[in-house]
Amino acid sequence: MALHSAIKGKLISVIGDEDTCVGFLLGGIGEINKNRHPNFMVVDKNTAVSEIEDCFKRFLKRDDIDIILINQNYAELIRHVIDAHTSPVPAVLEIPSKDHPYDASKDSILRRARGMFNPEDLVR
Amino acid sequence: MLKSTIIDNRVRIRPSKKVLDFLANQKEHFTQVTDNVAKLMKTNGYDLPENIVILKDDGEIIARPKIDNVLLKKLIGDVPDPVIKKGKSHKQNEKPKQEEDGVDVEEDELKPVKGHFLYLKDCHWLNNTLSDLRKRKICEIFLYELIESSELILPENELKPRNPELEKRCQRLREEQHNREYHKMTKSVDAGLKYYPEDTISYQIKSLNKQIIAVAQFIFSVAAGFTFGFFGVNLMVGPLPFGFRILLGVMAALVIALAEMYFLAKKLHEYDEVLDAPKRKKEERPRTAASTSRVEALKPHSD
Amino acid sequence: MSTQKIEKEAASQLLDSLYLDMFHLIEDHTQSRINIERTNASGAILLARTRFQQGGNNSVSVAQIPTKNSTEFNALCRVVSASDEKNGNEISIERHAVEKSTGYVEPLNWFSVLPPMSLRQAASTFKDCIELLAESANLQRQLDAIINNISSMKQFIIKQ
Repeated sequence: MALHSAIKGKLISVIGDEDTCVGFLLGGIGEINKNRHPNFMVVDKNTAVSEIEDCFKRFLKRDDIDIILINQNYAELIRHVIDAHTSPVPAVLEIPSKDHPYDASKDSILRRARGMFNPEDLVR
Repeated sequence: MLKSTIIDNRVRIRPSKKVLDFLANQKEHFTQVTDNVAKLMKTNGYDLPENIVILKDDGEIIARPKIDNVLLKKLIGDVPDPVIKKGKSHKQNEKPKQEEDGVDVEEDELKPVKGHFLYLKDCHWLNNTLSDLRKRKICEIFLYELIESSELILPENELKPRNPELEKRCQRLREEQHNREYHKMTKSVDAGLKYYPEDTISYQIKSLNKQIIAVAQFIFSVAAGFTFGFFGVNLMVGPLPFGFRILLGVMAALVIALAEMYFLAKKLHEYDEVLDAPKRKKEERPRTAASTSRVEALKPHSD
Repeated sequence: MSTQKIEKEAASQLLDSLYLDMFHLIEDHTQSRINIERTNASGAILLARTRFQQGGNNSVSVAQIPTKNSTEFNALCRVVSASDEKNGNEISIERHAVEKSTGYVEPLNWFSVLPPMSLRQAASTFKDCIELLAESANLQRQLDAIINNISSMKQFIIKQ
């Protein structure tokens, strides 16, 4: 598959619920490479946390992925893994899902930003 | 209470004592103050001198500060990387604990943070004022020294109560779902529900068979009645004219058909009744509820 | 001594502007996420409408999207880094034209041969959403860099 290596640009991968995955795949980000590894994972209520974690780690290891999208409610489940990932590539974007609005206080990077302040003797 | 989309995306900073002290000490040197800071100082019991110009929030968008990347690289280049990483990892080990505590508290309360905050505009004002003061050699304080002791408050989700109508509908749907599950569970126990239609192919074929058998039975009996009239009477009594034999056969068949028709009608009616039974059962439930609330009784028609 | 002082002052000023920039970035970051949320929600509604029109929940679902066992295909959308931008690592989205023979399949055709209007609209909504994602990813990278810079600047100032 010489074609594969010739393609420039990197992939966006997605871990999310059915609607998120179907939607972004409609948008055209899905790919199944020659090793039959898809760059998306559909999480439903029966999916174990360890499966999400494994999938996330697998995406981190792949060098052709530049952005990992993950629904924030699933990101909550594997927060420790996401917090441990500090390098800018691949970027982990926590996106809101249809039944969980975006919560800034849960986002890893914003939590890091907030952690730089050491609040003391605050005024109410 | 439900979380909904963030509407106010402004970053807020809860000022620390240090910031307030600074504001109080340096107030004579300010020439202008944003209205938010003025309000903040007033609520904390500090008066502003009369001659200060209060800037109104005019919705002007402030440009991002320019960062001297060259200087930044030069300065950071001196700092050995491993130290940063170590420091960072340390911090990250400590942070989650603190953060989790904070998050827990927040979730327990689930209330918007109250109090007075510095917004981005105020930070810009503070920065400008500070650089002005430094130029005039009044003080040697930098912005980061002030805000590092403060608390950064991230944009929060709006909290919205659930729509009561939606809540009511959900409740009703949940009840229906539970009822259906209950019927499914008790199907083998409740004799009245034994013939309650299922959604499977085997059930449909079964009921189809039943009806076919009933109809076939009818046809058989009528045919047998005709045969008796046509052949049986002829054999018993002796040779009869052909027309009379047919008449006898038809009459016997008719009598039997009438009787069979009665049974068939009864059976089919019974079958209909089985189909209707669960519906009637369900109707009874709202009726009992209607005695407690009249509104409920009226509702099913409207939706 | 005085040069050191000047340097420290410059560093402090730099740290101040880094902090201010961080606040800006946090606001922008949040705003971009809100935009993503909005676009995503409208896309989800369009998907739901498609399901409603076609009847049954299975018309647009996971069952239609390819799995590990289906044939390989390439992504239409790829992330391309435009290194000549001011910050050096801005990314943007590049789309490839649909071309069956080289493995660029049209995702709409997984769901039906003649996709309904609402499904087409959903697809275009999600395409917009992907553009927003790239923007958001840029912001997040900048924010990440700023946070790292701030912590190293702090170390630098403490050392002095």
